[in-house]
Amino acid sequence: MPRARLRLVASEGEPLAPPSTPPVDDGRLLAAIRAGDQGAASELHDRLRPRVDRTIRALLGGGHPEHDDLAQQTFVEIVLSLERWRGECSLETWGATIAARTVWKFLRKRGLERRVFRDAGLGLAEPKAPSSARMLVARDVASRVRAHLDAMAPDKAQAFLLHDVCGFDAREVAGIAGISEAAAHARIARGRRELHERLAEDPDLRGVLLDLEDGG
Amino acid sequence: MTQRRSLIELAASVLSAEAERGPGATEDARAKASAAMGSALRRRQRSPRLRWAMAGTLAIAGAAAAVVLVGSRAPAPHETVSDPHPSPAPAAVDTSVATALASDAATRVRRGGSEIGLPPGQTLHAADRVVVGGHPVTLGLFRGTRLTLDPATELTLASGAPVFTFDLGSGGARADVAKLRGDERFVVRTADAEIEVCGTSFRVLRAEPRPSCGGGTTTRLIVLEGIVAVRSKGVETLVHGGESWPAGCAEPATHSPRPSAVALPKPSAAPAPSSAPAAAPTSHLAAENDMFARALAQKRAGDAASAVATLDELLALHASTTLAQSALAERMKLLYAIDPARGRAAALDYLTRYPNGFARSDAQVILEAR
Repeated sequence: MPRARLRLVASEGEPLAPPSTPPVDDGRLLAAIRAGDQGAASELHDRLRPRVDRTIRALLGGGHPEHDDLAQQTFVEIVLSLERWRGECSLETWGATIAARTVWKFLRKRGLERRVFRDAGLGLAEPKAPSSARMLVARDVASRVRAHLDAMAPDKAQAFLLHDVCGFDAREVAGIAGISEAAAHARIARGRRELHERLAEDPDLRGVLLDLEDGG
Repeated sequence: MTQRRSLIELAASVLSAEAERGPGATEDARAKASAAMGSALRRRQRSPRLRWAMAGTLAIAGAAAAVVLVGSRAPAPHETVSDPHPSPAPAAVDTSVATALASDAATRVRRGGSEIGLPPGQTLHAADRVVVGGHPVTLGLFRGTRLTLDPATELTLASGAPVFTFDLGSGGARADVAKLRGDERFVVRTADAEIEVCGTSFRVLRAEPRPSCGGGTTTRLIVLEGIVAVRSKGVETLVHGGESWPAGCAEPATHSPRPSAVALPKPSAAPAPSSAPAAAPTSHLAAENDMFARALAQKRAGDAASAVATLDELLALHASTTLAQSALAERMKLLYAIDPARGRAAALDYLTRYPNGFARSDAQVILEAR
């Protein structure tokens, strides 16, 4: 059961996050952070947070009770590993990679080898987007897809999520999972094949997926 | 002819869309992560070798290490002078109950035999007693749960998870409670009542006893959303959103029962609410509470326009009411349902007045929904 967690937030005098700021050269931003500029660190956080959040949600599902803690760990790791970014990918991709690795380690540490996902409730901050029937159907479909992934071997399920949902290539998947690129290719292929077989054997879910496709 | 996507592609698309639709980081989460980054930055500055040790620690310890960075924050020797967040004790996370989100320089925390301040970000533990100064204080708890304490309130954090218990000695508080899980409970106790909630929003106040109201109870409750169970004198009553307890009491909500330095204002000209007994309100605060409760009742009845009108009247008659923020928050949501343009204007007004208010997320959602 999740226990009470601490929340550190901005003091009363701090302004809202700016709605839009001019893009800052990535190298200069990281250099400022290395020099100890807390403002630059906050700016990096605001910039990478959406991608980090999406990555965690893609891997664990929405509303996971450890989401915020994992995001926080990700940003701490980002600060501690600034030197490793060589500019070969965007900062957003780099942040997403670290987030994925953080989630990967979390799952392994918690011994959730046979359970990739867990139920999650909604928090108070959940945006109250208009709930159309189509959105409700999509949410149900997502849950059912995740149930199939949950029944698969975690390495194959995670490989599929990292590659097909998060958009990492095989080399990146290998780096996140700590395996060779060849092994990553194999896991991705096996994960996709097994999920396809499961979906094909679930005519009801298959039909709903196809209906969503036809619906535009 | 358009090629139909494979089942795998469709499944991936559904999961991607779900991940995209998730909520943005709350202000709590944002500030917590920024604080953790700051802590990591300071460690980087101290010791290059420590960076690799910390990276290794995080890789091994995972969540526990992250919590240590945030929770303990025992200052290193050279940080003692400048560290704005002193940790009087290396508190284990498990004893923590809440964190100050917005505070007041005059607010004090009594812990054991000592007294400390309550700057934003300060951790509060079980048995801490908060004595609020001249401005409201907001505490953050689990999963977005918030307690907003009125000025001059005294509140003791009796216990933490799984049974969060608070003793309201004097003053008032608003609680916005996330949906509870498992064996979690959220309880506010006063001298003569116990209030238990499950995912709701309410205000609880201490007032002077009156025999005609609730048999002389000093507790007043206004439920804004959800359902609250009130137990008093062996009787449990369920109070729904828009209702108050004791029912029909037009009561002043002083920072009682101790003598207060704030003199009660003269009775206002506001009409007595229809749900109240014949006795006229004896203070502005009673009328304010009644008007707010009436607006909520109108909202529950589906009459958004009347609810907005009541809130407008409340804000016009009692501009300095302690319910102003709550009234503005309800008003902007109601207006958005009636007229999105007016709702956005109201949301902007709310954020201007309360940039770190409890309904900031709602206001931002309204402003961004174009």
